[in-house]
Formats: sequence, structure tokens, C-alpha cells
Amino acid sequence: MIELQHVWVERQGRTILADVDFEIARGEFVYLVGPTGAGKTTVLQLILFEERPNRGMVFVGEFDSQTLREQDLPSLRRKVGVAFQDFRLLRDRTVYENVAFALEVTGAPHAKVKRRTLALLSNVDLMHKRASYPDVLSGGEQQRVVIARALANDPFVLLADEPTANLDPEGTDRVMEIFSEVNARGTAVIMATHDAALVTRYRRRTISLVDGRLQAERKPA
Amino acid sequence: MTGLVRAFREGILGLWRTGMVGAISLVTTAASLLVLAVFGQVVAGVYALAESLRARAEVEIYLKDGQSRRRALALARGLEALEGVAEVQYVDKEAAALEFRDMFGGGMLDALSQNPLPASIRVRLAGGGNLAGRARAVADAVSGRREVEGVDLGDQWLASLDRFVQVCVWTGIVLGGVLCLACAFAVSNTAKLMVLAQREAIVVMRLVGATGAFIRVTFLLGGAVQGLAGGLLASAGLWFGEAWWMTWIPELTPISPFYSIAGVLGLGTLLGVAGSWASLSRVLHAVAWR
Repeated sequence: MIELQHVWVERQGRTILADVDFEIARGEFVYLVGPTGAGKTTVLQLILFEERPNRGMVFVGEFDSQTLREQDLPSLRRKVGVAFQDFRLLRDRTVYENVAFALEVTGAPHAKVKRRTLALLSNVDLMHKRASYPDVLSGGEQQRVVIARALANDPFVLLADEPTANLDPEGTDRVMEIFSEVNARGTAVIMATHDAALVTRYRRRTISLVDGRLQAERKPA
Repeated sequence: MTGLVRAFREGILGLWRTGMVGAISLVTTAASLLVLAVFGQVVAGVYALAESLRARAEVEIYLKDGQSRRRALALARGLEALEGVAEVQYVDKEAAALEFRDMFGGGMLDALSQNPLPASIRVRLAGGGNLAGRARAVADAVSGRREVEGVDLGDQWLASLDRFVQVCVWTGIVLGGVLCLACAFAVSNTAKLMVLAQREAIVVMRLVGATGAFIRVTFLLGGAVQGLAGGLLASAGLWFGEAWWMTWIPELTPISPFYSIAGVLGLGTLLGVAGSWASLSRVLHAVAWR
């Protein structure tokens, strides 16, 4: 479903990724681990086609980095959800509006927008906060809104870039629970993190990057 | 259709959501358009006033006493054939006396034993072009004629009027051009500001799969709404301003309110769209990761 084939990424003469090669199957849960600057975020950017490789190929579903055109990006992005460490919520919209926005901009009918948004908010336990603005929510709650928004268009993969970095242990556990539930329903989850304790606690397949190179891969016991 | 309605709603809500930036943009847009519209009205009004004065420009040819009516009318007919002459009127001594009485009362004339006012031929010049030159052409046509006593050209004020109209026209062109550019710059830049203020929303739109067309239409409609709203504010200012102005200087006939308001609204909308268009290409390629 997602495959990086001998991918190299260079920026301003600096190698960001060197010969990275791995495959992720439909419905998998994978950690991308490594220290800051290892290239984890770049891998996520490649999967979202915000970045193109200098060498090698990236395959995401029916799309690949060699033939993907600019006008194909919206179709791809409706199938790939993203959650960020710094949330990227729209501060001037309520929780409901933030989630509904992801559906509205794709032209979904009003009834579907309402039904799906409420269902998503229910899944992340935020129905009671639907009229609140992001600034009054805790970090964990904001991240749950982001996850709901990322799942709005029913993507086949959810990318999460350090989603628990700004959360307290309780918020982290709740987010990890939601990721597990999402994954159990068949959505692949690719989570970049440098939190070793988290990876140990919630064991999953782990791809390790150091200085842009694939170091090791560990399958869950 | 749903997409267009949503884009329109997002465009309008965008103005609201940008809060203070939106309010400042709106006021700047309205002020720029109002300044331009008032300037246009003043120039048009002054030009219309000058044209109405030019339409009244005339040359008075005084006739020697004792000229027969037949000779005077023959001279008048000859003048009618001249280029740039709108109307020729023969004013005999009696008519001149009547006019004098109407303007100054009859006391002075009654004190005299006979009517001292000469008969004259009044030549009204057609408006536009070089009035002073045409007045001189009329004078040249009657110079040397034995029935003519003298000619009042009024050329000094006609020349002044010509100069005034020319200054008006050139001031209108130069200052109006500068004002147009300043207005275009101000309105399109505030539209840009609005797009930049919503950069985060654009990044999220791209992230969740909004098409480039949807994003463009949303922000172009937003720019149009902003320009139109600014135009409406400017139109309201123009409307009340005109009412006040007309009580003070009614001679300055402004352009029909329908045209001036339509112009302000149209220009505001156009500049709002242009400003949004110019800034969108920059923001559309902003990346999601900071």
C-alpha cells in the first residue's frame, strides 16, 4: 500500500534521506523512530507528497512519485489523514467546525457533513466540546480534534508526526487508544516519534532512522 | 453548486473571521474608493460648470446709430454662416433699452431725452474647443464693416475660461491617474492581507484535499466581497457627501448617483478580486509542515 523504494532526499546539498527502502501493508501500525533530524518528518512528507524524492520512488495506494500530477494531490490527500504535534487547528472555528471543514472543502453534502462530523466527535469523546474553540481545550483534547479531522474523509492511512510530544501521560494514553481503535477498523497508522518509552509500552512494528538512513526494523513480538 | 455556495460562504465568513485585520481592510478599501470617487465627482462637477459657462460665451457687435434693420439682419445672417457660431440675435435699440431697464431700472434712461444704447448683434459661440480663437474669428469677420461701431469680444475671460478648462482636464488626468493607482494599490493590498491572514486555513484546506479551484474560488469570492463591502461603504459616504455638497455648491452638477455608485462598487469588486488573485499564488504552495 505504501512503499519507499531506495529513496534519496537532498536539500541544499545536504542528504536528508539516504537509500530508504521499506513497505507498509494495508491496516498496519508502524512507528517511525529516531532522534531529531533523523528524517522521520521527511518520510511523512514524502507519503503526503509534500516532498518528492531526488532519487528512488514513493508509492501511496494508486499514486506514485513519478507520475503524480499537481491536480492529483487533492484525491491523494483525501485518502491520507495527518495529525501534527502542533495540532494545526483553526483557532477561529469551533471543534465541530474544524472537523466539518475537512468534509466541506471536499464538497460533501450538508447532511453527510453533519452526520459524519458528529460520529467522529463521538469516536474521540468530544461531543460535549463540539461548540468549544481550540484555545479552551487541553493538549490531549486538541490532538483528538486533529485526529477526528484527519479521519473525516475516511483515509486508508493516518500519518501522525510526534502526536504525543506535547501531551501529558493521560492525554498520551487516550490518543494511543484512539490510534489503536482506528487501526483496528482497518486504517493504517504511521506514527513518527522519538519517545522510546511509548514504543516499548505499545508494541508495534518499528522502523528506525538515524541520520537519514534506515537502521533497524523491529516487528512486535 | 454546493461547492460554489460553500466557497461563497467561506469567502464571507473569512472577512468576519479575520476580525480586526478584516475591519481595517474594509475601512482602507472604503476610504480609498471614497477619495477616488469624490475626486472624480469634483473634477466632473468643475468640468460641467466650466462647460455651462462656455456654452454661454458670446460676442457683442455694437452697430452705429442709423443703421437700417435690413442691413443689420443681413450682417447677422452672414455671421450665422461662420464656423463655431451657435446662435445670432439682433438686438435693436428698443430691445437694448428694455434689457437695460430689466437689469438696472429705468431711472437713468428716463432722465435722458433719447435712448443712448446702440443696437447690437449678439453672437453666441458653440461650446468646446478654443473659444477665444472663435471670438476673434467673429471679430475679424466684421472688422472694417462701416455699420459696425465696435466689438466686445470678452476674450480675456474667454481665454481664462479656456485655460481653466485645460487645467481641469490635465489635473483630472494626472491626479486622477495617481489616485487610481494609489486606490488600486491600497485595495489590492488589503485583499492580499486578508488572504495572508487566512494562510493557516489555506494550508488546512490543502491538507484535507480541497482542490486548487475550490481554494481559489473561495478567496477570489472573499476578495470580491471585501471590495464590494468597501464599495458599499464608500457609496454611502458619497451619497451623503453629495447631499451636503449640493446644498453648498449646487452649480457643481455631479455625475448621476447611479453611475458613480455603480462605478465605485464595480471598481471595488474588481480590485478586491485582483488583490486576492495576486496573493493566492504565493500562499497556495505553502507547505503544511512548519
